[in-house]
Amino acid sequence: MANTTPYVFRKLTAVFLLLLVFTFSCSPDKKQKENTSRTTASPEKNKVAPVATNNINQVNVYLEVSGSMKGFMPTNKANGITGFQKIIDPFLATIQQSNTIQRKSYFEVREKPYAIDYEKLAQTVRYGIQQSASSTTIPAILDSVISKNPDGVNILISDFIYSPENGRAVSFVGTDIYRVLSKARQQGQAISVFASTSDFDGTFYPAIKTGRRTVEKCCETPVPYYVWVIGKPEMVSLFNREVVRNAFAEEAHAGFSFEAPAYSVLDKYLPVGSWYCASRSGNCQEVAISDLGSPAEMVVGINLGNLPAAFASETYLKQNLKVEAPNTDIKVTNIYPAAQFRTLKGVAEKNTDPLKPYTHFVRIKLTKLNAPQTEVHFTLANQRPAWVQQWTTTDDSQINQEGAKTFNLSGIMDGVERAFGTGANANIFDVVVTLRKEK
Amino acid sequence: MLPGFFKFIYELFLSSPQPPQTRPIFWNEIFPTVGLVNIALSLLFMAIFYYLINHILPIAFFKKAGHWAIFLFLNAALNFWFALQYCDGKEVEQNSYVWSFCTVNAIYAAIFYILFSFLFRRWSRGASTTPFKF
Repeated sequence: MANTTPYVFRKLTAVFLLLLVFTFSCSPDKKQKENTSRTTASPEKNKVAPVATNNINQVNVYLEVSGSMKGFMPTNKANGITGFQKIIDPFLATIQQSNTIQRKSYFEVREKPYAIDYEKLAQTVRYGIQQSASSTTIPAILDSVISKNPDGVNILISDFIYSPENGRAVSFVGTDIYRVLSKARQQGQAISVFASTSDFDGTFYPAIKTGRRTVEKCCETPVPYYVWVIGKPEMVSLFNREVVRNAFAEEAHAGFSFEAPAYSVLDKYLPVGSWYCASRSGNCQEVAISDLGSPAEMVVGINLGNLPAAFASETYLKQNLKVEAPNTDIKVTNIYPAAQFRTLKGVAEKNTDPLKPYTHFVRIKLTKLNAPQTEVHFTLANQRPAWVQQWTTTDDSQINQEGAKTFNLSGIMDGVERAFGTGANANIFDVVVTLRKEK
Repeated sequence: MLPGFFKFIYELFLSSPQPPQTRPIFWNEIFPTVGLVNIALSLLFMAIFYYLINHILPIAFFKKAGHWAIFLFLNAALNFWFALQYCDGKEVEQNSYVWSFCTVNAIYAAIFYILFSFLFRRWSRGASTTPFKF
């Protein structure tokens, strides 16, 4: 009997100790749950659901065959073929052979479009324009192109030299293009403009006719030509991906709404400082910062695979990818394409499978956070590409001195941008990473 | 509740997980799982010693304090190994923090084993006074 009392006492002490430990432990956990419950609400708002499509019902190809195009497709070039022929011939063949496109039609644009079969058109491209036609103005061509096939994809191949009958109308090209393309916009269409230069062997017809009306035996420098792809955005992007690929040197786009890209903070790669991912499932889009005694650096993976190549190029990103967060001094220290990132020291020796979903890696750095919480916005602005300005001239009558430029190209693009409401303020995407101080 | 409990008991002896980026995985996955396994294994070792060997089976020679201590060390070693393996499975790099965590886990294994021993030994037929009488 004397033995049992201390025994029970001992047991009670043990149970009490266990209980004590349990109660102490509850409080920090609650906090954590509160914080992680609202993870990623913000990126939802700029998500535009694109209609998935895997075929294009109708593609109409329009090739301008006026006298001004003859230099690209000469009948008697001394040696070899022009750059235009080198690119456009396989381009047309790709369209003709594509299984993605159900029906293909081809047109030669004279004073108006005339239907023609593929073989004939390929003949013209390869062996030159036999009888050059009188041309029509670009707004008129665009108008007939857009209204004929509003549900498919229309391709217009031209030098885009705007030469209206009344010479003074050239000043209003922006307005004319705007008026025509507003129709396309209302029909829910988008535009991709691809541009390239080619050697030119023939007569050049400048838009500015103050000096000479034509430049014979042109040109010593390459001359630009353009391929406009117009149609429903999802079909145009499919066409660009499948058919155009990287055929042309430059590109510009209007009227697309891009899906917000997949993105995540990658805490396993090159982390510096005292922070950790606070979102518990899937992508890390919320970061807790324990301490900013030393600067925090983190890498954000982002998938730009669905954007046109021009927007995902290194130079474009470096100029136009903005990272901003109020109450911080956040800045981008580097932007790496996937292949380069994988070779970095500190990444190469790790398992790189988690990097697979992303095409680009943005390294950011901050040394202060003056609020309990902030939102880091990663935005990519839809800027007019630099080449548009570089390829623009106000006087093409001396084309040999001007070089590879097109008369009032920026005016034409002004009209495009006005019609589609894109411009300096439009963002291609705006995604958010939340930073908060650890409580 | 559980992650908070284990975070609390491990961080009595350890700092916050290092590098900081591994904190969520330690707090939400490694601490609770390794801690629960620790308790389960300690209970199991206790049950084997007091109830399998010294109650159900008619073995009379394996009930000394030394034998009890063998089980204590086995339990500690097994929990050390499990913690190390689990961290490895979660792709946490083996740094000094992981080693300290495994050590602390082994110490807790010993503590849980001792705790359970004194809580449950009275119902064991053969070893109700092991490791010592008091």
